[in-house]
Amino acid sequence: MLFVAVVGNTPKNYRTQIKLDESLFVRIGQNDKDALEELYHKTERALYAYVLSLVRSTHDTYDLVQETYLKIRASAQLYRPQGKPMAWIFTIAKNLSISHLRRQAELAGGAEADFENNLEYSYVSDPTDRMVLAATLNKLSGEEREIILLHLVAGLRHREIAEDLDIPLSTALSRYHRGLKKLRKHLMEQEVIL
Amino acid sequence: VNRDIQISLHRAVEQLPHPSFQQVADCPVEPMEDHDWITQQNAQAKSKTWKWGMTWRTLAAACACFAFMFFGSFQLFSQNYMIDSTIDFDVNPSIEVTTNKKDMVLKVRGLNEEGRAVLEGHNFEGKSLEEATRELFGAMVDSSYLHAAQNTVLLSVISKDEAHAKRLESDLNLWVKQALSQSNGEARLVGQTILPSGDVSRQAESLGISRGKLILIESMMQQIPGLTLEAMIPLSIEELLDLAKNEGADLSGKFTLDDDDDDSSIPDDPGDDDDGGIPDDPGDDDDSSIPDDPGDDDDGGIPDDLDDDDLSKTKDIVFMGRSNLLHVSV
Repeated sequence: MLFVAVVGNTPKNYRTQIKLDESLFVRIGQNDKDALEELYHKTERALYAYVLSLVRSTHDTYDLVQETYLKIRASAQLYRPQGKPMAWIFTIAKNLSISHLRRQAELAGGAEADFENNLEYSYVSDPTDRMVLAATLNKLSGEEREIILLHLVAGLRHREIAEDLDIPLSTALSRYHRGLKKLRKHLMEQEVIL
Repeated sequence: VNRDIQISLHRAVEQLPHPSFQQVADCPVEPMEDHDWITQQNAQAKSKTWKWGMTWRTLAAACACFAFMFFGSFQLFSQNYMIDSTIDFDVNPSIEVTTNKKDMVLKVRGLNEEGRAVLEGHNFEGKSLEEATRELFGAMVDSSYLHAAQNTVLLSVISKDEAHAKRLESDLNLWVKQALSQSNGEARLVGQTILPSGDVSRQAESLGISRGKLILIESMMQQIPGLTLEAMIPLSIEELLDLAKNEGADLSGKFTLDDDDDDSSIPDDPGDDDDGGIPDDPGDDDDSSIPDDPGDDDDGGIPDDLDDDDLSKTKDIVFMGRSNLLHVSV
């Protein structure tokens, strides 16, 4: 299959740094809707990419992202400014995701979910895009997925990712390059790209 | 290819269902009173704070360690290897001794042929200045550069630290005398302290003489008309000082002469140890049995009834009267 790039639909706001004012949480804690909207628009893409990398299910990602925002609303007044607001958001999302995956594993009785034949990818209209997404979610390790999705989809810089995930920059970079290489190799083998 | 993957991945994720802002904003929530394990900040926040704290502490400790090592090394270097003082000994041999802050000899070199000849077979580096001085003057006596007819030494201490230079001058005066007395020799010491000057150093180096001798010659030339550098450079210190004395040059502003100058031409009183032939005062407890010589004209007119304190002053006065070289105030 030939890889076809669709010109004119390139990602916008790529490499945009998320600059969050920590006072947003104070305002959200006071039920300030504008503050919540500002937080949502600035963080949703990164949060979605992060949760998707953790749970690999679009439905679950949808629910968990929403749940994360609700949790932020409920606990925003308790937030202590420490200079890393995005790290706190990722922490909430990760804890919710871990909790969700545990419950799911208990319900499935130890059986692994079949991500390969996930029908959720049908949301994606372009077959190539669908295959690239499926390969990203299924062929990469969790650590590689995190970095690839946060960098390529959410547009976070490697340094931001390293700080938000509390890992060294060199680790973030090596995981990114290793993941991308693996993804490229798989897609070439599948003749998705030439 | 990477860009294509990025575009494709980005487009795919954009098409997935995302919760809308309205869904997030409209859903009712109960404000929490305390963090639960989902929202707790402590672990990560503390970890971050600790890491930053550690980073700064580590950096500060590293800087302090570096500064300590740097200044320690510099201190060690400056104490041991940097030149602190230079001493020029001029008889006719001219010898330059450089020392560190601990007064240990770093280098000794002869500034003229005679100086180089004296140093042959000797190694002074690493020795204390006192040890080197004694050895050096012993060598000058052995090689007959210092003898009864030529026993005047110009001792010049060059240092930025004037107090240190004065102390060195005093110590050297003592060491030289002790060294010479061990060799049954005597010396007349003329001392000076000099602040380091690049111009003087360069000129002295080009003329092949010491800085001390150059300053002595220049001082004389300022007072004695008709003298030339070329004519004075070959003269020994003894000859230069005799010339200054004969021409009536006053060098007291720059040079000091030790106060127990011993002029062998003046007969000592048998009971007198160190007064250059000054007749004993009747009140002198040390030697009251020896009668004074009231008619001795060599005492420069000092009254015979002076006490001990006055006696120490009289030495200077007598010296002034004898040598006519230096004017030492009482």
